[in-house]
Amino acid sequence: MCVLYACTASLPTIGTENTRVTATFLFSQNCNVFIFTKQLQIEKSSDLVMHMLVLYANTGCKMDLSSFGYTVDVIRRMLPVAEYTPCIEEHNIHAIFRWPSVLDIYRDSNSAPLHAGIVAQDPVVPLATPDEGNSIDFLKQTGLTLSITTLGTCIYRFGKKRCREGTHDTDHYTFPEAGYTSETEQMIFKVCKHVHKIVSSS
Amino acid sequence: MINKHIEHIPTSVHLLHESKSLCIVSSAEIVNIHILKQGLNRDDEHCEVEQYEYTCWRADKVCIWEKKCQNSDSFGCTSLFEEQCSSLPLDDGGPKLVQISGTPRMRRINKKKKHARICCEKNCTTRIVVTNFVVNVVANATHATFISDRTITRYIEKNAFSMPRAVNICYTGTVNGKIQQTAISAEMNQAKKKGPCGSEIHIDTSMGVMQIFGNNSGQRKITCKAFLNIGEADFIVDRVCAMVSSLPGK
Repeated sequence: MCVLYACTASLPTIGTENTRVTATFLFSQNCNVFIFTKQLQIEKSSDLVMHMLVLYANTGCKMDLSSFGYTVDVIRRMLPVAEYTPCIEEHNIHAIFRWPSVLDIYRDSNSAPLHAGIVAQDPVVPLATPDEGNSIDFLKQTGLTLSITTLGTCIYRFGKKRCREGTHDTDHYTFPEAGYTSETEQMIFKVCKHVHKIVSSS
Repeated sequence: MINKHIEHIPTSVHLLHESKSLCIVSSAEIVNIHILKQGLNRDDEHCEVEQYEYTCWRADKVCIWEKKCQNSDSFGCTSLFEEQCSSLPLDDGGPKLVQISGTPRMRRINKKKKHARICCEKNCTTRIVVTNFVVNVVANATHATFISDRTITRYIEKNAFSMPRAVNICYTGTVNGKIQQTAISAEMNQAKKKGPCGSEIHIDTSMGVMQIFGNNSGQRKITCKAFLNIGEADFIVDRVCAMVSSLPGK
């Protein structure tokens, strides 16, 4: 059996402006092999930010999606105001609900202090850690579109919305960058589960 | 209709005679599949579906059966039958109808008015939907194979309740540095290729797709598509950033 050992030695003086040459030594009991490798100097200059997040779920039952049906009624009563697009007969079998800000739903789904109305009038929720604060900013800038079929298939699409906040002519204005972390992602998953539990109960 | 009953239909049926019939019976439904060898060529092959609803009212030892057509061309046309039903149990539904249909035991009658006393809701014992699916095939056909998409019958399982799960998450970010497409292609064991949406480098991974766009004052936009969580997307970006290119022979 031939066992290979490897070690790498950085030789920064040999590197050019954008590359650094390293020497990798591979050797075994019977032979010595030298291979030079070049480190590509690619660096991440900004963290990744989600711009579209799609989740799939099923309610497990057929849904009454008519304009005055049970599902619409439950969603209106138990979730923040949503824009509703009904099924179009002979065209499709899904209805669409749109929430402009996931933060509104998150507040609904979150723990007692948020429910108690303490922060209800404050658009920026005071939270314990800066990370949570960033996540809250991100949720505020994120919209949710739920496509639901009469057979119970739900597609939840979270997306960064373009801001029309403030003035009338800021269609192309975008929100300032809000940090996105795995914690933010978990908060979005939590919001989605909350909505799905309500939709499934209808 | 075939999909709904596909588990009860044999995959292949030999057509030894001029016709072959299959019958699927349950308490509320009867499905008849008739395969007729009539056509001279393949253009003559076609299917027809007929559907009827049978309603049975029972009073004492008399049963009144109403056969109502559900087909669009003769929707609502009804026929009435009278049955002396002393010897049969009350609630046989489909099996009973199969047994008596077309026999002298089920006698055609004309007016419902005459039996209005019997034909009321409290006497209604059975409602059965009968579907006749007639398949006309060429005369020299030797067998018929039902190759319906059997996955549709498993749709009920797919329709089971499930909590939301991520199926597609896309991220945006930036990188800078001199990027060598050939080195990346070689390192990732991929053919050198440009990606869609104007991307310069397209990297397929088992976790998702990473695209690197053109240089913009030293910075390049990257997108990570079809990932399931940010941890995996970060891993792939870090992997590309940590990449080295081999320079054999130097």
